[in-house]
Amino acid sequence: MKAALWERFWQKKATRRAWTGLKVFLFLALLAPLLANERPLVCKIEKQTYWPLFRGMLCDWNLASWSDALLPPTDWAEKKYDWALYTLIPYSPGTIDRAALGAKSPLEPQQVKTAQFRHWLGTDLSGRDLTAGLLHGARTAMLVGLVSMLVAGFLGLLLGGLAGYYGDTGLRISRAQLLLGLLFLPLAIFYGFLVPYSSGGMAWRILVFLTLLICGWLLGRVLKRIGGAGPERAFPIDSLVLRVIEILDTIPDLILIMAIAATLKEPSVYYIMAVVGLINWTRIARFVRAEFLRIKSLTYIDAAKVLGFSELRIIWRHAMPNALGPFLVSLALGIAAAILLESTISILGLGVRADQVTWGSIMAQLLGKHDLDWWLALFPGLAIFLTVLLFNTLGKGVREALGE
Amino acid sequence: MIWSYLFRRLLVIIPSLLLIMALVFGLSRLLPEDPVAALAGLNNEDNTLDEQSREQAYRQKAAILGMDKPAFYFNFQPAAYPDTLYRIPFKERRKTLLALLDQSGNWPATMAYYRTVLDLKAALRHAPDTLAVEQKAKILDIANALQYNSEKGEIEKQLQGLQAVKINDSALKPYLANATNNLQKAHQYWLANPKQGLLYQPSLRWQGFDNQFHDWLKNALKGNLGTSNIDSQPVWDKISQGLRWTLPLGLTSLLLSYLLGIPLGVMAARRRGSRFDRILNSTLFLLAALPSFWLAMVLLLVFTNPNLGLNFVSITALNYLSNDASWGEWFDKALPNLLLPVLCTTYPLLIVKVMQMRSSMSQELDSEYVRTARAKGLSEKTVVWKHAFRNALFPQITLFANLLPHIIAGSVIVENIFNVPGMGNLLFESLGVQDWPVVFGILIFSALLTMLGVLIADLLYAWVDPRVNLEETKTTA
Repeated sequence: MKAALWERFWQKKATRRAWTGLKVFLFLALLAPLLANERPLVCKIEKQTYWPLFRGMLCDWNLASWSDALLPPTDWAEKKYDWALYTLIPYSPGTIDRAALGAKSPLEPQQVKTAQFRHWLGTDLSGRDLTAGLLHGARTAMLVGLVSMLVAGFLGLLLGGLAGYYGDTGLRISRAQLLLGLLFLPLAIFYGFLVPYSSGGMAWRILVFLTLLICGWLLGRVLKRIGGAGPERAFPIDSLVLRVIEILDTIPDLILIMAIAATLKEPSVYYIMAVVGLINWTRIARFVRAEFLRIKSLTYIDAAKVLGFSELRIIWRHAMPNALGPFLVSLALGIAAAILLESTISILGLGVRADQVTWGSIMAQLLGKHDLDWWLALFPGLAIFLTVLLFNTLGKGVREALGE
Repeated sequence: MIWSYLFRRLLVIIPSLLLIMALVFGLSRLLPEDPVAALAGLNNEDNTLDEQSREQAYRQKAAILGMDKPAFYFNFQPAAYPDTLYRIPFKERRKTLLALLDQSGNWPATMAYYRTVLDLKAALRHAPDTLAVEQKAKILDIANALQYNSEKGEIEKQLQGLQAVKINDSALKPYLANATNNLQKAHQYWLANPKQGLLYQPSLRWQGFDNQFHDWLKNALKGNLGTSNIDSQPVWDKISQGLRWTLPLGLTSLLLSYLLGIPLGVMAARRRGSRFDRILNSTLFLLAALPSFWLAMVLLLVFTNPNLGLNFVSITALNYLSNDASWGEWFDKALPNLLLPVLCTTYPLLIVKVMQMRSSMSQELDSEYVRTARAKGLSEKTVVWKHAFRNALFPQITLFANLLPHIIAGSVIVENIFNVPGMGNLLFESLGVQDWPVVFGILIFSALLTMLGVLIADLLYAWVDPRVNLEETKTTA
């Protein structure tokens, strides 16, 4: 069945193209620092050979330090080289070319050393190379999609799956389990997020939080096993999840994210993305819930129940693989939506640090300006358009392959 | 039946609204700056008030704003934390105190130490000017550093510096000797008596109904969303001024998307697989990936640029239009400037509308009763328009509610780019000047609007389609 699905996915030309496009996008995004960098790949200074590009990466990770000849590690264009070999684009996204200040068009004559130093797509208002900005923007866009969908995918799969599989009557919990839940949830919140630990960051806090929740859950299971848990009642998890989804969907995401972005002390794309994920899981949860509702009425699930498989095993091994298709569809569409949302926020100038380059922040320079710097609108716009189109096409491809 | 449904719907809406308000209130508590100090004008550089009057001004403003009350009905925090922290003026002080407390867990000792720092500053103020200017300045530097420092090592260093300053001047000595001594002693006590255990002990305390959230909620339910921090205008007035632009704009786009989307959707459904359907489908698919802000920007650049000769749009015209402008004036000045914004807010809605109409019409055309009608020999026109179209149209009525959040979100960016003085632009400007009451007012208002939209849509649906049994909508969910 899987093979047939794959074949149908491949059949369409548009999907195949989008698949290739995805590979190109990932290649550019992952290798952006290697493709566009102001540091030379290899250079010779006073008969010594240096590899500033790779050295710089090691330095960024604190694995090495700069050689004396290369200090200070700024103004790479001003250094005296015997000879130097640059990577494809000899500019970083933040490199300011003083000869090309104030938005130089790609068609204008430019004062550059060699043809390699030409700004092929022009420069922005502060003289930064647009090609380098676009490449690093692709990296930001990739991270945006990744981070937000990691959060949204986790929440959507978990809550949508639970709601769809158990419905309002399927999840039976005993009084003792309910009490344990009421005890351990506040405790997990307290020890996870309220206690002022002198060391350990957010990761440690999340770890404590999850550990305590799992402890409570395990304790409940043990109580149930030994039979000391009291009578069981149905827990209306479906209604609960639906209600939360309903509430979240009444708030326009853009307005909420704008408000959150503005309250942040240190604006960063990553915070925004986590928030996008925390809001956008509802779409995925709806998809997954609908799919689980359908799957649980299929006979093979009944068969698995009759065979005495544990619930976790049925959900994870039997129901989940069948819900994967719709999940992938909503994931692809969600990535497209997240990239659009992020570029909207950064074009408004919210949530992005000044030194972070995103496709939206390049275009933001045009707001309130009356010159027709067409390249600053065209190229980032095209990048956003193509990327969103790419993920929409992939989502559509999976959906059609599933036969919907 | 409708009334009991309405009642049950309201039972759902009210808790949702309360939750959203709690969320917004929580957000407002996360703001980095101190609203009381900002509103009392105490953050200004040229403020020359001395410490005591600053404190007094702060307390007065806090009392006026109701910020001298606990934040919420209860607090849930480590047992070491005091529940009266909100009474201490200035956010920075509260922050420093908490940071100090996090290292010791002993609130009385922490507070006692901090008070000696403030006492030293007060003593310095009262001390007469003598020849020992340098010493005084040095002590003042140390006191200022201690006031906002919470790091153990740094405090130690400053206090050693204080020890090193010898106060020989006989006029200065009675003022400062005592204060510095007390400071050293209180610091020793703070260091020697930690109660770390209290930091790990949860405590839940009830704080009563007289709290900030309760007040805010009461006002908001009365329709009073507060006043703007910038010009003291009521938030609701500002929002309703913005709505004069946003509502017509949004409703026009909604109407246009229905007027264009429904015929297009029907045509596509009738000729499924035809060239028209394929072209429409792929055009909409491409348009869906086109960010509306991008289109807005490109249109703006093209139509305001004098070099291209197409500059019939003026970016400032709407701001100069007075409230009581005549209809002729309005048509003449506003309309050409509103064409582009309407275009940019309409096309995302149109995509959704055409897709929905196409799929619901196809579903109807495939159904049994249409086949029966055709078999009976009814004309194609009757089958499509009298039978299928009517049934396909019903769900569209409710779907306008789903578009409301799109309309509000779309207005933010488009109004900002085209400089339409509507609610979206108000939101953006308020964010820029950190006018939080307006921001949160808009957030609540748009959530409320969406909820009402959903409610109206449900009722409309029941009205047009008698088969819908509102009693059962919940049990099937």
